[in-house]
Amino acid sequence: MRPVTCQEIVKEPDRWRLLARDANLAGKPMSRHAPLRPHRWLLHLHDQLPAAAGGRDARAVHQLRVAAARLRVWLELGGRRVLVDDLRWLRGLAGPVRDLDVLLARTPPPDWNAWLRERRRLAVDELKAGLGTGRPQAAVEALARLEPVEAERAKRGWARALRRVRRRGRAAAAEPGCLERVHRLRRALRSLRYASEWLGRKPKALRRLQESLGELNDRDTALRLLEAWPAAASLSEERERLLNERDERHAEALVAWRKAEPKLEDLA
Amino acid sequence: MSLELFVVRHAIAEERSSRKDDVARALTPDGRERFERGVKGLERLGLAFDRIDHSPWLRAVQTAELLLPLLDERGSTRVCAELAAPPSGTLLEGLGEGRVAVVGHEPWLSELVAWLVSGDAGDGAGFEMKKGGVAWLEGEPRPGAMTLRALLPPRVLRRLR
Repeated sequence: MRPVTCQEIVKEPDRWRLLARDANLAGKPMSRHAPLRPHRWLLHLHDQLPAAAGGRDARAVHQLRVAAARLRVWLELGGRRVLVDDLRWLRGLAGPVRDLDVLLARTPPPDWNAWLRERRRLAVDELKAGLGTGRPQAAVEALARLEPVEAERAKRGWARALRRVRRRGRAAAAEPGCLERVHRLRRALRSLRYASEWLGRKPKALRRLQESLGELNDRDTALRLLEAWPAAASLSEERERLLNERDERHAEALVAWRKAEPKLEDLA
Repeated sequence: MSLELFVVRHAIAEERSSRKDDVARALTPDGRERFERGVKGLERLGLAFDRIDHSPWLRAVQTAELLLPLLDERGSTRVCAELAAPPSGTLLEGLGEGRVAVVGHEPWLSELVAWLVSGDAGDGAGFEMKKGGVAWLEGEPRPGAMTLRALLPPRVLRRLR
């Protein structure tokens, strides 16, 4: 089969979707030396846009964010900077809806729940407005025209991502009370995990570590949203519970990091 | 609202061909090398951009990448479908303020410059832009409300010392 270009996929997604099971189209390198092609995640991003714009499909909103993050890492592996901000913007646009979906799935108390649902409705309006501009489609088209990333270059990008995780991990461990440093570590871990996956690896332990830090983020976001609710004082027990959970997750995350750090390179 | 606008035509790209989609034409190695020298010229003028907007076409994306040394460390880039079309009100509304570079294509860039300076996009022929050339405007981003500070052909940019 002749090589398929991203432009063809963007022009005729339905035709190429059928072929997406092909390893070459799945964004995985065919060998350790094959260039990294963004087809799979580009198609995934392209497919999420209409459903995410509707706002009702929580999975599409989440997957839009996942695809944007994975493509951003692909750009970074190629040493590219242009289009990174567009993917960051897209991810950020869907972020408030996703945060609220995660929290609403935990069925918060009724009054707060109603406020959260109203807040989600407003966040969906903003998401719709952003996705309604030409920017998301223009980003997909521009990404589709970029050359694949050479494997050797990607490996250097992966090494950079690893160094960033180590640096942020050290910073988080040096100041264990600082939540923001743990969040920075979590984001760096996510990039490293995606970088590893672009290189065809399956970093299961890294994924578990990232998920453990994600649990901390979920509790922190819930607390932030509770404190933003004007009637938050009526849920002081809920607040106390969330605070305790967050602190427990924070401590667990730091323990998990200290355990993972010495063998990080193997995990990734 | 004050804007310093740098209208940048993409660097030299592959020739048009019936085999290749026009939007997917890449910069040539020579085009890259010349434009990088032009960027050094702009650096010597002490310029830094708050934002770089670019068309989604490959040669504009690659040109924007080469302009990055001029992007402020807190600056951002933005893909802009309106830069791959005749200049529109939507494009002007999105320009904002500060120091912004826009990377796009002819004849639309000349028309954009003419529209902003004289109020008539039809005057574009008077603002011809070479590949890799830059038009430097200042004022408010509305028709006829900007002043042309300089029209910098690529050869001049490369020779700036």
